[in-house]
Amino acid sequence: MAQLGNIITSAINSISSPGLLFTISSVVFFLLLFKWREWFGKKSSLYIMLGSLAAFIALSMLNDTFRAVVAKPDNVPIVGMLFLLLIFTWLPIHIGNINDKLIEEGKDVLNKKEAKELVFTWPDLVFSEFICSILVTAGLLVWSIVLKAPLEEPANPVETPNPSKAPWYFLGLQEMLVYYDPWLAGVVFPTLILVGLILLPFIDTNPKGNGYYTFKERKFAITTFLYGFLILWSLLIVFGTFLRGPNWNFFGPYEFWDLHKLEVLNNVNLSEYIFREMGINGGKLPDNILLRESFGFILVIAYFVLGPWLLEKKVMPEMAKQMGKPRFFILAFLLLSMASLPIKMVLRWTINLKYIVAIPEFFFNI
Amino acid sequence: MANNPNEDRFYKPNRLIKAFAISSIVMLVVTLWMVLDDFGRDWKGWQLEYFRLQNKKYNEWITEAKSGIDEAKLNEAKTNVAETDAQLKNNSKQKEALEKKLVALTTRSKNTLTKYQTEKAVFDVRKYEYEAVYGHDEAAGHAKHGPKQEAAKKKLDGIFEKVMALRNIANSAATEKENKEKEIALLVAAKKEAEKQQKLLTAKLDLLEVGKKNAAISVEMLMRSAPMLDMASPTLKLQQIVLPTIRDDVFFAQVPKVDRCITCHMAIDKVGFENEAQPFRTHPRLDVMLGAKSPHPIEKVGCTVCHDGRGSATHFTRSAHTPANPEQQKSWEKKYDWHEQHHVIEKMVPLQYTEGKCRVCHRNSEYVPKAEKLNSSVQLMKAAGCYGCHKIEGWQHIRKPAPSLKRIKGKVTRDWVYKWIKNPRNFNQHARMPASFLQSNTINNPQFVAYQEAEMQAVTDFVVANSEDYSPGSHGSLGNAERGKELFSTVGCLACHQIEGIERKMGRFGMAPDLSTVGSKVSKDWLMQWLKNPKHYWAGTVMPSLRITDGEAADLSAYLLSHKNPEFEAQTVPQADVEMQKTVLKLYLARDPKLAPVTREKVDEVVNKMQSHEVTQALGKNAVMRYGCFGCHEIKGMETMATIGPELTEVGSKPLNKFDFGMQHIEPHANYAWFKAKLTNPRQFDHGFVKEYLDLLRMPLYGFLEPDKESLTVSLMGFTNQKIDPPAALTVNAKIHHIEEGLRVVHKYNCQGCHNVEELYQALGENDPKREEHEKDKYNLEGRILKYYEEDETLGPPWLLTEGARVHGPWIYNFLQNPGDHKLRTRLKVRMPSYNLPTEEWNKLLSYWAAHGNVEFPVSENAPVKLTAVEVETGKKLFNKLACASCHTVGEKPTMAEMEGGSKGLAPDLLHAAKRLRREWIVQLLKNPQKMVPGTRMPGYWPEMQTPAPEILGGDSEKQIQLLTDYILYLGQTRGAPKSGAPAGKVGAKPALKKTTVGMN
Repeated sequence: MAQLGNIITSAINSISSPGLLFTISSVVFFLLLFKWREWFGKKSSLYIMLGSLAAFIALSMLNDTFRAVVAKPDNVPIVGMLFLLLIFTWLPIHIGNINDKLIEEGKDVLNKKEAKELVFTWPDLVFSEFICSILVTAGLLVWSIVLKAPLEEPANPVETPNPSKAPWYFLGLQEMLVYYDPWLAGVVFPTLILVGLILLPFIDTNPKGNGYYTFKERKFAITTFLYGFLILWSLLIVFGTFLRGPNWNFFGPYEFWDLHKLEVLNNVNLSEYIFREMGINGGKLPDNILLRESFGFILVIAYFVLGPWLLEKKVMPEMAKQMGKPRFFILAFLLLSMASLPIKMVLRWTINLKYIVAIPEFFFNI
Repeated sequence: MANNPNEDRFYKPNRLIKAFAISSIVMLVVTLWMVLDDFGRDWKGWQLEYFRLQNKKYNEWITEAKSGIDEAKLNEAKTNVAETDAQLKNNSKQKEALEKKLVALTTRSKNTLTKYQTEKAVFDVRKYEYEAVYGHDEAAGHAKHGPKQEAAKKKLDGIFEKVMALRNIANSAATEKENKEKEIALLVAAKKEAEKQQKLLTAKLDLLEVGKKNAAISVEMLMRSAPMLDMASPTLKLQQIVLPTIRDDVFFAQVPKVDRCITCHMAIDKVGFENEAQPFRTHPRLDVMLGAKSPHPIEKVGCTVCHDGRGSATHFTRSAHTPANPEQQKSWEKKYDWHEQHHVIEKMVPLQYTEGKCRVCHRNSEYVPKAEKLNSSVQLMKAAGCYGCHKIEGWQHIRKPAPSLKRIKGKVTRDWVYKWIKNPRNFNQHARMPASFLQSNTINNPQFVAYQEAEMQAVTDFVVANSEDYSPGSHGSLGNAERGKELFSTVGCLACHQIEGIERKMGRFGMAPDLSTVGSKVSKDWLMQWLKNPKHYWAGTVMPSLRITDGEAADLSAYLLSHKNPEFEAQTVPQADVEMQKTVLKLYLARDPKLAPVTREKVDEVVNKMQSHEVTQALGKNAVMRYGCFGCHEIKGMETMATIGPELTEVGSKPLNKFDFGMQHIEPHANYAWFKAKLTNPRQFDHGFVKEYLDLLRMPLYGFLEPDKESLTVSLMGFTNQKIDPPAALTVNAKIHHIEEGLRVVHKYNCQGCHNVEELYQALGENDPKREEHEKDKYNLEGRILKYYEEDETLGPPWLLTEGARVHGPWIYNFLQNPGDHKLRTRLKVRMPSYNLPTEEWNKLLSYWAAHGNVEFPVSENAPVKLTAVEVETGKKLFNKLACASCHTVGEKPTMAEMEGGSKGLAPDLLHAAKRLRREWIVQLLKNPQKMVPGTRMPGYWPEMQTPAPEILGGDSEKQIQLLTDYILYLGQTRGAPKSGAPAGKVGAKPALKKTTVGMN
């Protein structure tokens, strides 16, 4: 039994690298949405998934390292978040599946039926909201009594905690710092996320799905949003919370957080690849910064210029036509920005690419 | 709106109401839970427990106080009260009349006073008004006298007289009233006095009764501490000591220390709780710590400055208590759900190491009074020579702990040096020198072993090559070993040295080398020269001259050289392998900054150019520098090199994550455990690592015993970075400064090897179960040689506890210049050595004694004694009556018969007294000899000032003592101090204050 446990834990540990886990998660995400959506939307599937997740966590609690990390008062809400994410992803898919079937059969979607049965704000809505607020308050009180606030010593500049972690809801951003320079991961991306979310209603003028759940009628919108939210945001929080240990090294869920663990971190800039490895300019980096980074700049510019053009002409010409040019190009810009994160991640994991444009002289790196 | 409430509703109202009811009840319960959870602190339970205990204690104390009251006296006092009361009753009419009058007078006095005060207020206003219109101009020098001023002045003048009159009336009314009161007081005086007497008898009891009442647990008391009500004036409340001058460093600011320990440890500074269970036990040393009369009152020092831990916490676990041992840890885990507080940096120091924290304030003190554990720890640290490699702030003045190697080839052979370096304890198991080579991080790697072999050869050759020539001269043949042994054990060698064959009374880390195998080390001529004059070989030695004659030197040498180590002698020294030396030298050169960036070719080129002896010297020098030999030994050209180890000045405050635990699992994961592990095997933290040869740890192995490690840890825990300002900090005044400076000299020359200097030893209480065990340690700190005089301490070197108050500066200076000339206790075989100290050190020593004895600066003399013939006669009578001369000599040498049959010659010669002793000290000695010289044979003839000779001087003890003192001084004054061996010398001869050559007898 113990041996089996050992085999399983070391197997899980050994596949625990950010690249592998990220890729597996992405593949499963797409499979669930496009291949197994029918199964995913079933009630029994939800129970199976919730049960498996609970069983996985419960069994893993037998492991000291896992327990120490998961049971930390800071991390308890994130465990709760896993269940909530599952439930609230499942719910729209579940109803969407039913609606899609109804639409195919030419019938009214579920909400249309309900919409006819209007109810009063008072007492139905307000009263039930009030009851909810009481229960939530009581729940918070119990939580605060049972799990004491994890207060620590006064901050000591000569003895910073290792790993130094942001609040859990920012761990996705912190994970981005592994791949991008702070000005991008810490300033530009968060801004784009906020701006993009604000712009969504203006970009997406598709009236379908208003007031009811559907997947088939809004495949692109739902997939894009869910990928961004589940994979690029929530999964990175899970990485940052449970799997990033001392020195921000990546640890398997059952792997002891050894302070002295070392990882090979020989990352190379694009310009070094071009000039040193490929021997252009006789292996010498040009002194002129712009010249040195010209390939990187060209690549970045091409990505944001050719990318939208390609999208418009080749990938989704119909959508482009429907939306009109201004809307479509804003969408394309946001989409490409979002895609730049997984692209950079893959480049890092595969060819150890550090920066595409590297100008440390001016703290400007892409 | 629908009429039927249940129609057209998404939710059923009844169900909603039920859900609301249930959730409200849940909310109420949870809110109550929250209030209770917030209110129910552990410390409140402890305080309640304490109140209960206090109650019990008060009952006990009251019973005890009651039994302590003299019933007869109390009854007498009671009768007295009754009697006086009866008397008062007889005069009751008179008293009543007086009291009636007093009432009237009091009323009058009050009324008149009110009138006066009312009018006075008006007067003050008038005064102000006048000043306002007149004063400013007057002050500016041009007073105006207009109508406005005139009007104000008139008003003021008008009221002035009136106020004065009223004041007079009020005062005379008050006087009348007071007089009447006095009359009444006179009447009741007797009764009042009687009552006072009675109260005095029961004062303690009454006080206890009041205390008991205040401490009682009552409904009111509990109500005051109930939730919500406790905001006003709770009975269970947080107790804290704020220490503005002891600050906690919270990294961005320094905040005053706040200790709330007394919230639970409520009886910590109260007498009477010594045997209670924690947290209510009294501090075990109230005389030193926390007591109001101790040097460290609780409100001045608090708790965590010594104990550490999180002073502001009031929860057992969160205040970072640290168990002293695994058993305690287990019991705490069970009892208090204790667990380690990982985040807390300043965890409580386990009790066995707390004493080290004295050093927080007594930072550089040579010794800390009453801190026996710490003092012995510091002594051990100095003897082991930790400061040779580790810098310790305030220890820089201490001389190097090991002998100079500047003339080593004149003392021992090259082979001896090699074998000694290889493992000093192979030569002598009691050797102090630690082993640097072939330790646990190298011994299992054949390559490293070969490297070390090469290094040992090179170090040996380097040391020998850097030695000057030295010739001890020729000193005749050896004498009689038997006589040598007798001499060795009596003359004083044992204060510093130990040797096989004479019982070992000290640990390994003494002042001087163990001599058990010295015969395999030095030559006959070297030894004889050394014994006669140690400074001939090494000017910096602290070994004094014991005025050894040629014959004695021959005997001693015969004895010492008979101690050999044949196994060591039989060891062979392998041939030096120059090729291997080259290999190792290359490792060193690869790190030589002068060759950076280094290549194999560069190094090869350098080494290939060298002659083989150059390789040896270069490697030797590199190795000596790497192992830090010069930290303890003087080596030519390396006198001023910086120590090689990490500084220890603040090691007790070093964050735990800065300690290299390597792959070792040390329980508990704490600095003290690490210290002990490091002292056990310094190299163990290399185990399991892949390291280059020159990266290996190099702290040598001392082979400390468990108590040694424990003791050293005490000091290390005390080397902290805590900063303290006065008044909590120790203020170094001139007295403390002189004592410090003097003690440095004392410790440098190991005076405490023979003499009891400071009474560092602290006897445990009479009833302490460990007392007997503890008594064995009596001379571990000082007066060590006295261990050899168990049967009669007075045959050993004298105690010096009151030396400063005892002797005159010039006398002791003169004595120490050449003790052989001033033999005081004729019977002692142990010799006071001749130290040839620099004048600076003599001054420090004398100033120290003066400061310590609270007397004038060194130079002082007794006023000349003038006695009449009658007084001399009476003094003599007293002198003979008390038989002073049965122990003391008066200038004569005791005969063999006197010595064998009695105690003559054990006590100092009294002819010395006039020049030697301070008059006041003699008086004190006569009054209570044990107080001035603990353990002395001298009897106290005037116990509690009861005279032994009622017929002399009318039996007046004080007069007798004064006269005897004068008589003793008179003896020396008229007959002069005797020269050693010679009959009593010239009258009044003044000893010359000149330096005599040391080493010649």
